Amino acid sequence: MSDNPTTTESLPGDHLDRLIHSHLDDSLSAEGVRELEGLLRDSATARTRFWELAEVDGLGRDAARLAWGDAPADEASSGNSKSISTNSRNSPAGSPSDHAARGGWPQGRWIAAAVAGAVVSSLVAIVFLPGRFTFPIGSGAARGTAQTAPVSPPPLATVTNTRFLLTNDETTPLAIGQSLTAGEIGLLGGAVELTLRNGVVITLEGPGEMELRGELSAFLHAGSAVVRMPEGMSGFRLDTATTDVLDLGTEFAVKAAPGFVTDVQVFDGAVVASSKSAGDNARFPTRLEAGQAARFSPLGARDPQSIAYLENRFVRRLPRDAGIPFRPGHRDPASLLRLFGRPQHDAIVVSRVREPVTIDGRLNDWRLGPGFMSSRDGTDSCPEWVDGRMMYDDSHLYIAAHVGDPAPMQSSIDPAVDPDLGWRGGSVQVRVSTDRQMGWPASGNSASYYSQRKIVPTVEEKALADNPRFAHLTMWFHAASQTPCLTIHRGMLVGELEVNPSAGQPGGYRGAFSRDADGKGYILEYAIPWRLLNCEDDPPQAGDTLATVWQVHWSDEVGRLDRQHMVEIRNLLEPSEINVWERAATWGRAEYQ
Amino acid sequence: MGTPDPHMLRVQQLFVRHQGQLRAFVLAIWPDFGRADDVLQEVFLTVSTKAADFQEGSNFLAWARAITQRKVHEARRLARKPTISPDVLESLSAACPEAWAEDRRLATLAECLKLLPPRAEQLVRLRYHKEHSPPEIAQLLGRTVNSVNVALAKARVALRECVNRHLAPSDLPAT
Repeated sequence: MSDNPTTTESLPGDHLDRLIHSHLDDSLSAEGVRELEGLLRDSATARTRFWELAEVDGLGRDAARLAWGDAPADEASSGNSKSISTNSRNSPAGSPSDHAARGGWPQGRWIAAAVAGAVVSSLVAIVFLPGRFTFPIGSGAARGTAQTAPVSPPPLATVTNTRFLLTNDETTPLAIGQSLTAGEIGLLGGAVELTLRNGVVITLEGPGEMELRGELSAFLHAGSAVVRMPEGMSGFRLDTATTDVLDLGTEFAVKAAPGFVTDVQVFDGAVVASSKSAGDNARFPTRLEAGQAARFSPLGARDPQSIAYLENRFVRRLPRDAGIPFRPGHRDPASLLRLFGRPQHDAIVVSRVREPVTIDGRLNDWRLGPGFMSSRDGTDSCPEWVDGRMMYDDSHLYIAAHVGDPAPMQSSIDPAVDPDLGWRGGSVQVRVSTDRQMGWPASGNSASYYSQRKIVPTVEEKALADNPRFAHLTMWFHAASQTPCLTIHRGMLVGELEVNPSAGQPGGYRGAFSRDADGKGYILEYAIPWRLLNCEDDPPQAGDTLATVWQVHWSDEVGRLDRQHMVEIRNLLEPSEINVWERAATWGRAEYQ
Repeated sequence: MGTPDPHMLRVQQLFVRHQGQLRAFVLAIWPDFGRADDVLQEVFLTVSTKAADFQEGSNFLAWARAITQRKVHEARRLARKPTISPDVLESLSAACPEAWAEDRRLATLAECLKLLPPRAEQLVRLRYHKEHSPPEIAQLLGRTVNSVNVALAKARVALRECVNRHLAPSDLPAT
């Protein structure tokens, strides 16, 4: 074929050909579609011509993979082209030479196997199907290096967890919450968990290299990966150079070892594994059930070989042991201070009451409650500060605070109208866990924690967020009604907000405020029955270490807008840029004595 | 080992054997690489569900193509894309030669791709290997979309001639 650069902008052939070519380039207008439709309806010749011209287009993608390897390279580099921002990479991974480098297969053999593979794939990718499942389309939709998706929701996959992660490409850091398109993922160490948009979870161990091809397809070049299917879904296909593994609704692991050895282990459900060694017509798909493991070798006389099932051989789950920072667009220190505070204390002693506590807005009864003291910016001259105390007995949790506030007790937030905004007009918020089995640190994240980080919580994580023994207490003084207010939100901010529960009634909470004589602060004092915290049958006891965190809010002079905010009694091991109201692990220690 | 319905298994084997042709068929009717595999998944599910309707010895490819053209039509309609009416698609499907896009032609086309002159190869790689659309290719190469379309059309014609030249007359699809 001669190189005949296009110099005239005319399509070959007649009008019908032009319409068909435009159709094949997906550039036909609605009017063009109607015109082509008319020709195809009326003319058998037109229909024949359609198939003549369409064959190359229909086969083009598969043929290109056979000719040039199954992973697209950055072809623009071969000419006088400009760079393009999507789906490009610098080296042709997946090309014959690349596969040879990975596993030592000669290039010619790779191409031969690829060509042969297309022909014989129909003989090996056979499945046993008792019922409905999804067929894995096997051509492999390689589309370039995995990278941050631009703005095309939903992404194919999201990085939902990592552990000791070291990628082999610093431009692809694989941060939690990062969106990924199809393409290659390479790890030098650690592990990464990917959640696909259909709910499939893949955990890839490093060192390893995997090509994510689609919602139901990936290719494992090296290393180990565990695939976990959502309940009721099946049909994921994880291929290696020599083996295709088709899931039938399950959790399974695949290891692509040197020498094109592939190990398959099934934790749950079943898979169908097929060797794809060229020339071995005797190979037949093998069904593996939960508790079984097998090894496929290109040189094995009898595939597969049964190998030992080892429960702990693969990493099935990555522990979520660290919080994930989240900055909503703020970088300057003042904004970060306002958002996340500057906590100085990670624990508070909760003393047992020795004498009855009178709730009168005075601290006379609190001599035995050591508490904590802190200012908003850490300086002694700061006008916003707090002296916080906690005590308990068999029936109540007691909270007291002396707050330095230039505009004390001015809140205009009406609990009958805007109870959800009680914090905003000047308030103290104390979040407590009374879950004695859980102890400290507490575990549970709000829905917003996951959504902001583009993480899909597991069923277990959702259950943790529903913990009835977490309570978010907001205490403020409503100036207009002269009412000490209290709202309680359960779990990690799930369900209905309770507003002034049983106020003024037997068994209800009691609260009192008093303004400092100099008008620059106030004292609040509350007694909250364990009953309102869902633990009256099993309240905290001396020796318990449970979770709590404090927030103090300062408002404008009319008690309407939140002006400043501080956080105390915080778990300092957690990243600072996490809102304490959305992650219980950030709460500090409440040491009951 | 499970004990699947032998007839269903046989039908699924036929699907797998012809999946390359069916994928090409999908792409010919709807040249959208991103959608083709999804449509083919749907086709497989339908083929499996309706396996009992297929009679051994009859023309599997024609049966599967009929299912495929309906699935493509549904998918295009859902995607709100202008689409050829079902009756015309049916006629078009019926006119598709039995050997159209078969494996031998695929392998030959792959060899022909390697014979392309550099500039045509660059275009074809961008279109079919990188799966860029003609407008993306135009942007990439600093050309007009029309010139890219023209060049691609010429490349397809040249490739088709190459395939036919390298196959014996008996290997050509009967038309």
